[in-house]
Amino acid sequence: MSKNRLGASVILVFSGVYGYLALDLPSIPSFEDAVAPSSLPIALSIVGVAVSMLIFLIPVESPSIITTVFSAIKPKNLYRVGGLLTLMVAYGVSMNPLGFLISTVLFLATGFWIMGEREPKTILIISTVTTFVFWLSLTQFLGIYLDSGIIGRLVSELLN
Amino acid sequence: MLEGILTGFSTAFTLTNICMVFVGVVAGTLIGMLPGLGPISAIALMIPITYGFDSASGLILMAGVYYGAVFGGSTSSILINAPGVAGTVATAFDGYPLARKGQAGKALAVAAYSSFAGGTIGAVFLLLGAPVLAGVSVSFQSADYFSLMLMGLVAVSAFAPKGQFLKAVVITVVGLMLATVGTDNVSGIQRFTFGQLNLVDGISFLLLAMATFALSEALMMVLEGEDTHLSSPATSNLRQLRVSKQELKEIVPTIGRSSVLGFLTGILPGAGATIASFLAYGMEQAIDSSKSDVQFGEGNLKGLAAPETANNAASTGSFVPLLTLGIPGSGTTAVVLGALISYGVQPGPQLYTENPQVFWSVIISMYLGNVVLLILNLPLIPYIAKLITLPKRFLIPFILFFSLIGVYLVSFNTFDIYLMVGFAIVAILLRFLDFPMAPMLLGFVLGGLLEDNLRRALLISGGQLDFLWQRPITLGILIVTVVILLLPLYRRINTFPTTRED
Repeated sequence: MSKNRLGASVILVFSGVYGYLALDLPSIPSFEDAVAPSSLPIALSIVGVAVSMLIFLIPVESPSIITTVFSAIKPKNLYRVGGLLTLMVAYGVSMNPLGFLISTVLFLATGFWIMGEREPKTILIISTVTTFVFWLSLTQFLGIYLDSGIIGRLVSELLN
Repeated sequence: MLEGILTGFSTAFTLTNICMVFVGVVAGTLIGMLPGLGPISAIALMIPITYGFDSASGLILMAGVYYGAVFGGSTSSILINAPGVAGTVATAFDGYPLARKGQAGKALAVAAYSSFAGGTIGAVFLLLGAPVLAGVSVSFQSADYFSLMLMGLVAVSAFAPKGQFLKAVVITVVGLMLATVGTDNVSGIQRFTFGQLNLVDGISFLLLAMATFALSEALMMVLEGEDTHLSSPATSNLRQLRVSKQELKEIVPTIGRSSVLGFLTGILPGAGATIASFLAYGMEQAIDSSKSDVQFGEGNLKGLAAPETANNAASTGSFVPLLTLGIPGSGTTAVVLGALISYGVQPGPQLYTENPQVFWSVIISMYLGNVVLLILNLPLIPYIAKLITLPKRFLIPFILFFSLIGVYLVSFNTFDIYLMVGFAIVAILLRFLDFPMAPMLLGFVLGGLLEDNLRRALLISGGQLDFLWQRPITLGILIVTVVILLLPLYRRINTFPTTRED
């Protein structure tokens, strides 16, 4: 399948689903309105479906997805991107329980490791120092509150 | 007008705002120099930092970042032949051969002088032209705004690279669709929220901009694995910045012509710095026609000065429709508009009358930005250029961190992080399929305004569509829109330069 056709198919499906969902919205305008909440979404979905079908049907020289994309990406780089995406989700999950400081140090350290840095001392120093400097400037200079997380709160309670 | 200029001077020349220009220009240069990261990412990364500032300071900082990012893009174009910004692709044509000849310092100096001249001349035009246009646009009504926004959206698609017109149209529509997520302003009904409390206020503009630009650009760098050419910048004679009198004399007319062309191109919705730089390069090539000893493409100084002047003049020019009509003409000014709305400032003719200090201080700060760019960046270039050699294994996690934390610090909601990851995956897929991303941002930021103005126009006209042709201004703009829509057909016959989004 060509790049154009694959892209058009993705947007065709998106526009179709969007239009289907728009049908559930009220189709009668309220008293002080001339347009119903569903009007623009339905119109947009029609345009989206029509244009993506045009892209799909018009014969244009577009390189094949297999030859241009898959052969250009090295598996190592693909794994790295997969790892970084998972790491970002993990960062979101860890933010509440671990707090900003611990989760950010872990995020940066794992990120450096995924990207190929293998020297533990370098990883530890860069991730810890930058996180601490960033935390300090946010909390102390800009006055932004950053949650210390469930673990941080437990530690401070124990210390008190 | 004189009173306005004085207001602008007094606002822009406070210690805080001068610091903003410095910080903006340096930060923009650093980010713009990184191959793959353009002004959209640079500005988006700065938005969270500016939330605590007043709107004038925030906008001044962002204008500085914009200039800095364009200049930073020139630096990586010249030194490593890898433009960080689409608007500086043409700079590499003659800038990189010059650097390869051991004249990297001279190439950067010519780029800096040209950028300064282009930006300053552009700022003078902006100073004279913007108030006139703002004065005219006071009489605009909802129907006119609706048609203007339609024109802006269509123009972005029409000026998309060759063969990408329909893709740009459909991506703009996707942006408009995403803008409808959340609570409907008029009826109060929730649309496409799937019962999620996190989506009731809609999708944050910053989130979408960060995910589709900063995040996806950084991840694309990893996927494409561009390590090879990053390791050998042509940095010989980087400190020799001297340009001879003869050489200056040679490039002055080029700078004059390219400034005018660049500014006018920048005003056009959808055209922007990329097209301006290519047009200026083409114009100089046509005028020069073998008069110079050095051929274009082999290190000709005019070939370097023309795109550099034009892209900076166009960056200034693109602020005209944003400041006077509230309609961004490019992805970059769309990000600026998003930021302004988040400050509670609505650009447009009201900005000129209700917030003159913002309007004028931005224009004045454009001069200041250009001066700072010249006096600060030129001596610092040898040191700043070292950033290009910063290993990607450290750079990428930092870019990801700043993008995520920038959005998280606004909402303190981890749902935003997950949403960003989702959008980044889709953006990477679409980038690989050669779908441009900038029109989506423009569609998203204009979506809400477009719907509001359409509703108001329809309410006034009693639900009839005749508002489209009742006023000569509305009709005139719609006719221009149709003409722009037909441009791609014309381009099939005449070849236009192939450009990327800026």
